[in-house]
Amino acid sequence: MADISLTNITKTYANGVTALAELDLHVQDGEFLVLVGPSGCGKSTLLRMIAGLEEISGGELKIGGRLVNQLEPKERDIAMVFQSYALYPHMTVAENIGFPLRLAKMPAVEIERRVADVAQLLELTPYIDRRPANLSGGQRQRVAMGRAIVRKPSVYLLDEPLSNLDAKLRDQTRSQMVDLQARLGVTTVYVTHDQVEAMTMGHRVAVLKDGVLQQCSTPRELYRNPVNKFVAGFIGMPSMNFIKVTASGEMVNMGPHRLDVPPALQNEIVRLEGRTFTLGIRPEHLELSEAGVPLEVTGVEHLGAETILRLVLGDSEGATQIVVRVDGDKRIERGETVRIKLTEKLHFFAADGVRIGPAF
Amino acid sequence: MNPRSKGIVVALYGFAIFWGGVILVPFFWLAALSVKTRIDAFSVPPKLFFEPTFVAYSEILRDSKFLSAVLNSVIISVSAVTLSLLVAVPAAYALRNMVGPFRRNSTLVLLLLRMVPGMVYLLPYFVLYDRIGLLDTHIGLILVHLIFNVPLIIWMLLPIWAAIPDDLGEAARIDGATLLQTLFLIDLPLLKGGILASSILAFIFSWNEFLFALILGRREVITLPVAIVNFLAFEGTEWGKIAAASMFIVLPAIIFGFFVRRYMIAGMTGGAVKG
Amino acid sequence: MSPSQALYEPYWKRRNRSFRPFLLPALALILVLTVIPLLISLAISMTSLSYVSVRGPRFIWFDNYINLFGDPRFIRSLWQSAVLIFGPLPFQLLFGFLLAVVMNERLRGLGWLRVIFIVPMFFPPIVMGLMWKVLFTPQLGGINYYLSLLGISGPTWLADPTYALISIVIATVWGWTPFVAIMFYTAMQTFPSDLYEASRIDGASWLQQNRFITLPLLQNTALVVIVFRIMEGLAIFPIIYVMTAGGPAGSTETTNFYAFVSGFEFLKVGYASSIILTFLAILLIILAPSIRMLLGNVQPREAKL
Repeated sequence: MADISLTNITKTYANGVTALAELDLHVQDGEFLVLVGPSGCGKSTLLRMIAGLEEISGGELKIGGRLVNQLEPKERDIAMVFQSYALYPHMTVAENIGFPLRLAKMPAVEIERRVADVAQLLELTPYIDRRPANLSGGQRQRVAMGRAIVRKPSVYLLDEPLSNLDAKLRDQTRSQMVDLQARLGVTTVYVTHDQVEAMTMGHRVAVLKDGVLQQCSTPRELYRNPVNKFVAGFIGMPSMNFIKVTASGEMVNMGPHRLDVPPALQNEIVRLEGRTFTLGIRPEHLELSEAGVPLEVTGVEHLGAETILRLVLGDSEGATQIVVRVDGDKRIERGETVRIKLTEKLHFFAADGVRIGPAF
Repeated sequence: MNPRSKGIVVALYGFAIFWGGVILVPFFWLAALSVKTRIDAFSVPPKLFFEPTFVAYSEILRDSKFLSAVLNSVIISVSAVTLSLLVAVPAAYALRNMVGPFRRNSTLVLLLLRMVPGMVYLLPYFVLYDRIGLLDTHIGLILVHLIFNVPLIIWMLLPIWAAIPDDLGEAARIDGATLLQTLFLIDLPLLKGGILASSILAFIFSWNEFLFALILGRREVITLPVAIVNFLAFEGTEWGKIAAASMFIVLPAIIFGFFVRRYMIAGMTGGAVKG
Repeated sequence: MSPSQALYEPYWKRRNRSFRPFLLPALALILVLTVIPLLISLAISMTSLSYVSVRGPRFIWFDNYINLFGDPRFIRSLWQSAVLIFGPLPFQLLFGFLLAVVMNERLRGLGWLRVIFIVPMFFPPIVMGLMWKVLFTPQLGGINYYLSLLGISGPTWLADPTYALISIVIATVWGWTPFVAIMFYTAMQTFPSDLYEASRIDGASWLQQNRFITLPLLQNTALVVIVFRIMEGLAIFPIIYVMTAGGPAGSTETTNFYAFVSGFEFLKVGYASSIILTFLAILLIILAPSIRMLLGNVQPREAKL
């Protein structure tokens, strides 16, 4: 068991491109930490640096209190699951899982026993003599997991391990992996670009953008108190609405429209008098009402339990699209006009994207 | 492609069959010569139907010089291929995995040195071998074959090797494998086919090699292509033997070639083929 | 190495260092086997080294090279090299293209022909030469007999200076057209099929598709083919050796062959070295621009057959 601490971690390529800039992060012992961000944000690079597959250009990486910057992957006591699974095509399931043990020169009997245990745990026992080519996507994924588990390493590194599964299987596997991690209690770093995976799996989620760590918090905290506009927009489906407004008295102006702010936040608005800022509102935090600004419904997506409405708020400068999530029982058609009102769950962001509003 | 008109289809079939004939008729002519009596061989008009005789084959198979030429060819080709594999496979492994300018330059140097015409190397090798006593030795010829076989094998293996995903090597590294273990436990088992194909192709090139064998082998180390040419010295009397001996050298090349035909381009062009 | 240095060492350097031991044996071996002989060759070419001369070799600077240009046999060999390299090329390109089209069309029942087509690629050049020598030898080969049936009185082929050259060109077309065909065929397989589908919707006929899509797309490949044919135009040494031995009257003697004769018949090794090195230099000058083009796109591939 081990914690991982990253101090000032930097990655610069030979061509001068900086992939990661002075990143600090601490993964606690037994924690399931998810690294999430759009493609190219440096999350995979970071994972590969922890694994020892990429050189660390600067900073300190400690696993279990031990400085490992210069150590080979095998000396770091980690295991990794690749996005492609990287199963050895010429080996059977048993040989794949047992490969790390074989390299560690473990006695054959012991290897066999541990492979059997892992196969049992991952429900792979019937396929133990098959080659990867003869396995389904889900089975391959489990073999890759098995190869990581069998060594009993102190850290698991998972690089988008679910992205090659179809949607239904992905949902199932997600919860199985969470269960497995909870049972084994091994420190886990999990990379994904999928914020749903991040929110549902991680004890904490670290959001990266352009090689810079934006925020590392629990999913709940990330959702409620995103530190900036990027995190706010990245977390949550559909994405948060951003409306550029100007504070004016106890209300906000959005072009020619005036929006009422719930009483609890009016003090905040008064404090921002005259300033232009961005109002962030999650689709689920807007309510249909009798009064308020009229908006045209330009799109309706019936998801069953809920319905997503795409509304357009027009003004002289153009149109802002606003997405609202409403109860699935409501019958609203495209082309109708609805009125919405703001709830208390509002986020304020300054022009540079930093959160300025109150915390929840 | 569009549906072709009848005329075009006929023309395509016509050309295909014509060229099939162009390839096969000379070959069969030579093959027929090997089983013709001397009188049949020289008869005008040419005899298309005749009683085959295997006198030429039985003669060359009893000719100790010819048999030792077969042996020399086998020894030299097999040793040259084996030695080439020993250095070329690790080199291809390195070039597959290296990054940066050094990799690129090494690859190009290997290709360029191979493209230099053999005659350029032949003269200095003759002078050099003459001085150090490697003329007319197996090892002398084998060394020269390495110049062509090592780059050939490297160049053939590189594209095949590139098809093995990086992830596998990295996974092996995570699993605790050294580079040598990765080579033997992961890469080589996956490359069996490619290595076999490149060995066969290298073998064919060695087997067919004539220029160096002609000069650097003299009395003792005579290879098959040179042995055949030596039959020419008795021109007019030995055509059957020449044809029969030709079959001995051409058939292994064609049969082996059949199995590696899809790798032929990479082998012949050193891989410098752009789409 | 201090820890801080190691900390900032670029990844690829470290990676390359760990792989270097695998590369070095091959690189060292090849460099020793090629560079040393090349240097020896260069040195020899500046001496009067000769195995018949009673006097020992003297260092004569560039005398051999200067003498070359006063040597009519050398000049003639250059011309004949050009004929034997460039003479077959148009035929190889034309027949190679037609064969590639035939192969690419996947005509029913002709799968086996695709295998036949490439047989000459595995032919030992020496056997190729012998085979054509047989065919062109009066009585033995029957070519003239069949020509006479058509009312043509055949030439004496290998005994006639003009026809000897043509004979070798014919043998070369036979031997290396498959290479050209496979190169074209391999390239054709990479052409996106939607190009052909789109042009079909635009109303192009089969011939127009070949003329306006296939041919232009093959330009690069044709260039590669030409470079390799020029480079390997010298590979026909065994063919010349058995078919004509450079004759009759030196009419089929290429520069390559002249170097061979000078070195191993006249035993003037120094002079022979200067011949072949000059020829190599000429080749490199001709090919330098295209080789750069080729090597800029080093992209190995395999053919599907």
